[in-house]
Amino acid sequence: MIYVRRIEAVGIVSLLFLSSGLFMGWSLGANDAANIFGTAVGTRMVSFRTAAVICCIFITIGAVISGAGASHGLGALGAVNALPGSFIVSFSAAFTVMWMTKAGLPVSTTQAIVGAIVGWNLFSGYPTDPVVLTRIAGTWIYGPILAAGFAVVIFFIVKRLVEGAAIHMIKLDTYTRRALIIAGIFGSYSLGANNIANVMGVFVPASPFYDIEVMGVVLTGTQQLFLLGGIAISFGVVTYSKRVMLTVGSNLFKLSPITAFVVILSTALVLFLFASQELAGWLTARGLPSFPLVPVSQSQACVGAILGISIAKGGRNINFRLLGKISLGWIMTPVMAAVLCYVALFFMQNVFMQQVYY
Amino acid sequence: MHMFGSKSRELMENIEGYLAFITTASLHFEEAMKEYLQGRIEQFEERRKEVAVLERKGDDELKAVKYKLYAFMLIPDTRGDVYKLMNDLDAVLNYAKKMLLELSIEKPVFPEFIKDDFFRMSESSVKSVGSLVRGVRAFFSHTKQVEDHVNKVSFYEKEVDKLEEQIKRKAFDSGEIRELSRKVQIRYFAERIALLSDISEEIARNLLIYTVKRMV
Repeated sequence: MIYVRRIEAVGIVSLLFLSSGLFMGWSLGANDAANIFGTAVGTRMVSFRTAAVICCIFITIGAVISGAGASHGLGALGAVNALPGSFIVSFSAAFTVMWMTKAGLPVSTTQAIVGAIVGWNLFSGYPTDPVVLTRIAGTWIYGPILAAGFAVVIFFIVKRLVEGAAIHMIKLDTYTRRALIIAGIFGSYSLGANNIANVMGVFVPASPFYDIEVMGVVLTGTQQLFLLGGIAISFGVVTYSKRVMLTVGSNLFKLSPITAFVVILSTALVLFLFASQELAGWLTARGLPSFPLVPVSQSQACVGAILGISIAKGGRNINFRLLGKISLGWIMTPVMAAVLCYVALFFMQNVFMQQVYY
Repeated sequence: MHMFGSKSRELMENIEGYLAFITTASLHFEEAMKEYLQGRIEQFEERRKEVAVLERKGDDELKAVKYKLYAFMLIPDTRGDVYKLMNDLDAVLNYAKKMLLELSIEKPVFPEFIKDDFFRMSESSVKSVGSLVRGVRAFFSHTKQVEDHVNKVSFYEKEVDKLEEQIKRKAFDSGEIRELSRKVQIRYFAERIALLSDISEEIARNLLIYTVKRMV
């Protein structure tokens, strides 16, 4: 009931403008949930129903509780301050993701949204802070490297544990299933915390929501926005991620359930490091360098983790062709999103007569 | 998700039960051979029946293993290999039963100078089965030890081959055995007993491949 009243207050036009963010959320849920549970579901270690329920709950919790950090980091690149502008930025990013996916190119929602924001900056005349841009773009390089590093370390720990403990294969199977679920919970939480910025980050400065109190708990306008984004992601998980999971699990990468656990955990750690305000505060308070709170690409971190496992296994079977494709995607995705956003903003402003920036 | 202690435990027990039947049947096989060679036919027949019962029980256990592997969606990444391994092991039980039945029907008469070779041959064949079963157990929990057991299987198989050749040469060079049909029958049984270790070696070779696939 509370939510219905909010929708009435927010208005249909605002929701229409938010629709591109919801589309982006759906796309993220459909594709990125597969990176978490793909192998587990594809190899039937975890049922799709269990995977979907975990994803929906923990992505949303991660988004609402810890989504602010990375969103703030993205906002520093360009505070899209008019709702029609946010709509175009989000739409351009989502369209780029969809087009690249259809073309079979590995795509990152983070890169798409960054490109689109830069497009908005260029159109509106706001400067793009090169420091912020470098900080975000830097994660496209060291995010996968960090994930690979984590994967190597975790892989050797797991290998030592499994071989040293001499656990019966069938007992190990049960333990692996549990480990996959726990890692999946962490992965979902981290994905929600870090990548909600890609879905709803551009709507934060122009958020149509006001703070509300539900059973003594205050939900800020931004948190309501993230809750909406979490629901959109969950919708993507429920409606479309199964077929992507089965593809990831059985065709693309031949991971065993144990190595899949290593990949999920390594990827989740990277996303968590770049999303946790608590961790950043803890490190800063001790005079230690902290990780920038910016959205990072989960897909690339995932590929980095898989590469890490290949390296740990002796460096064979590294797919350099895939690496080449990813590099191509790194350049194409932001450029395409920026160009598309610039052109679409022009149409929105001059054809539909909407103010796309203040 | 199933909890450990129910379906998983049942499957572990079925596999262990199945392996125990193979070990027991192979030991009965060795004793049966000894009894036959010593002319204690009544005891031999009892043993033979015992092996036949174990083979039937083994079949039931194997059915349970196969069913639980797929019905409960356990060990999805190694399920195919475990299924094939268990299925191949069935040949050991079947073969032990069949071999004793053939002895019981044909009642070959082995000359004294060849009996010890036959006994040593069946002893080595059973040792190869024992090493194979230990290798299979290691495959489930101590993968690093599998190779050691597989090497032992190969060792015993080679010993059996040597004895097989020895028996054949003795049979065909002997003036004591006059009829060709007896010589051929002795050769036939030497080859049949040797087949038990050949089967073990073949399964052991596959076991090595499954083990490499299982490595983390």
